[in-house]
Amino acid sequence: MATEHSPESKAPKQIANVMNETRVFPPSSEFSQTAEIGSMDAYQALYETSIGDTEKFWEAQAREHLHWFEPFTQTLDWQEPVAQWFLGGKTNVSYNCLDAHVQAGRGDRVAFHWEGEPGDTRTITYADLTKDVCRFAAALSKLGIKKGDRVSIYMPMVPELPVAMLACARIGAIHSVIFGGFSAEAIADRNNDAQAKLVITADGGWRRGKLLALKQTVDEALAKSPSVEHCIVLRRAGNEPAMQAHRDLWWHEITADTPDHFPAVELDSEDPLFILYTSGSTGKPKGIKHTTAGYNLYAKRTFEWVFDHKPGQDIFWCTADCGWITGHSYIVYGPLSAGATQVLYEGAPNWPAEDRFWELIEKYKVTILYTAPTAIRAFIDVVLQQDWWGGDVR
Amino acid sequence: MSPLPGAIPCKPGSCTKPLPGIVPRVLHADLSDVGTNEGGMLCIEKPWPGMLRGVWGDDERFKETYWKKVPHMYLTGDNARQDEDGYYWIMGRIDDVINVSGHRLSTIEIESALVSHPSVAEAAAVGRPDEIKGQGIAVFVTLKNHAPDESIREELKKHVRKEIGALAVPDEIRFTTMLPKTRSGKIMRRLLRDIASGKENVQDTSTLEDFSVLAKLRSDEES
Repeated sequence: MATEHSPESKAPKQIANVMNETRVFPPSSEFSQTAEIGSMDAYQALYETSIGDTEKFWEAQAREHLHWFEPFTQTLDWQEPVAQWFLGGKTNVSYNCLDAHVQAGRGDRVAFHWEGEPGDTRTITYADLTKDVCRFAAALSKLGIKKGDRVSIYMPMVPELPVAMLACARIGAIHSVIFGGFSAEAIADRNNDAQAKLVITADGGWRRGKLLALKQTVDEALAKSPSVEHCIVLRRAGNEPAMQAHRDLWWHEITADTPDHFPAVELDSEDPLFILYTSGSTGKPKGIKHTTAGYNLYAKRTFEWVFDHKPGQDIFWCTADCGWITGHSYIVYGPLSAGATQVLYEGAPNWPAEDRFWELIEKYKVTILYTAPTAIRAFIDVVLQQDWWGGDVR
Repeated sequence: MSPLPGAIPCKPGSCTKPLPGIVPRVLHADLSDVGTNEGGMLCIEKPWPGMLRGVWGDDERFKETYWKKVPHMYLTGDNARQDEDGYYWIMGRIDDVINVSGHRLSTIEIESALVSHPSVAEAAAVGRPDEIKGQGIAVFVTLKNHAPDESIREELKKHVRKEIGALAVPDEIRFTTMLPKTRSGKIMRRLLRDIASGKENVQDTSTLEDFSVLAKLRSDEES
């Protein structure tokens, strides 16, 4: 919370031993007054309700916070270790993130202020994003991708990355986002474990002024990924990668004549939304599976609770990559279902200069920054030297 | 678990309180509940809507990893303690615990003590086999404003003794240009464990070691 900007608070540069921390920082009363959960008592009451009759609590949350094509009839079926939530209901995460806002008259609200590492920018409203997702979902569908098919996504942090994720969600395909820094070997392992039918990538991306030849890495991976039938390539860097006839397709070509409207498929609550690979102790990649309604609800509500997000007022920036679970939940699905306006940034935090993060915060008037302690430690000296406090950011 | 900005007072380093619907339990290895400020395995009692639903194509691995060690609870893989105000403190991953002469030490605790020293930029602590104590403590440190010499080595040992206790004093302190990290920024602990136990050969034996080549070789496997 950026409420105390006293001279004392600038002084301690040294990081204290946090395991022996005894200081307590209460919320400012000014902030608490407008917060959705504005006091410890309010938190306790909410928490007690949530664990007292858990099913009733989540039933009410799900009915209020998600759009249902068909309402669910059973809140929870718990056959340890398999939990099934909101059975009988039909919904679609892409609908909750996009159509719901457009239909409520919020189509003109900015979804993403995007900035590429070279400094190129795009402003994308909810209406724009919905169209982009529809066009791409239609293209995927035309290519024969259908509900339940696995799609690997290996892209830089450009708007088409969330577009690709949301387009998969729209048609019920299961995405597996692979962080853009992984090797060909790691991509092939993940393609094979998931038996992916399609890989979506870009010609290249920018990191610290260096071109990452993503498509070239994918080509190496595809030589060892027999399940993959097609590779869609976004033109981002203009580095003209080799394209294999019939297998490789340009994003802009396959979306050239697809429609701006493409209805979201009505999915069961427990239809898988995505797989995300994490390392295991055995070295074999471990594909964590999340499903539609429960994940969507939890990402939305935790985003709203934890950041006390005020739609239409706050500008949110999560500095993670979409390729990690943090990015899935707190760049794509949580904030978009909550109608947030976000900053999306392609590059490294310290390129071309150490203060790039702080420059972006100032430029886009970010009010909520979600980042890692490592980033704060790395930049604390720069920030202190410049006597810069980031306005209203918290 | 997370603080809520309008409601929950923060204690730096603590994840504070559980979010709605989350029922945490902290247990000893024998599955009994821990006492106040005692560390143990963090588990979650009830299912919640955002809970992971499985491991793709491997139901056994899902059960084995998350549901087997503690019956009827979800095993997070983190160690935690709860303080006298009911605040939770994450103490590192379960496999990041170092067992020195039967005492369980959290690597995060040792690292936090080290970085509280003004000359330490970053620190990583790992266990290495020790014939007498079961496990010894090896730490990897990047320094700021100080040369990698014996004086700082002794000073850091004294500092950890003061911050945590004699038990936690590292058996070995190695200085490195930078800590090897995965692409997601996590410290490559398995690599450091292998270096500390001599399983991974390090040719460079200068006072300031560079593990960037090893890190690059292993980055996919540890991410």
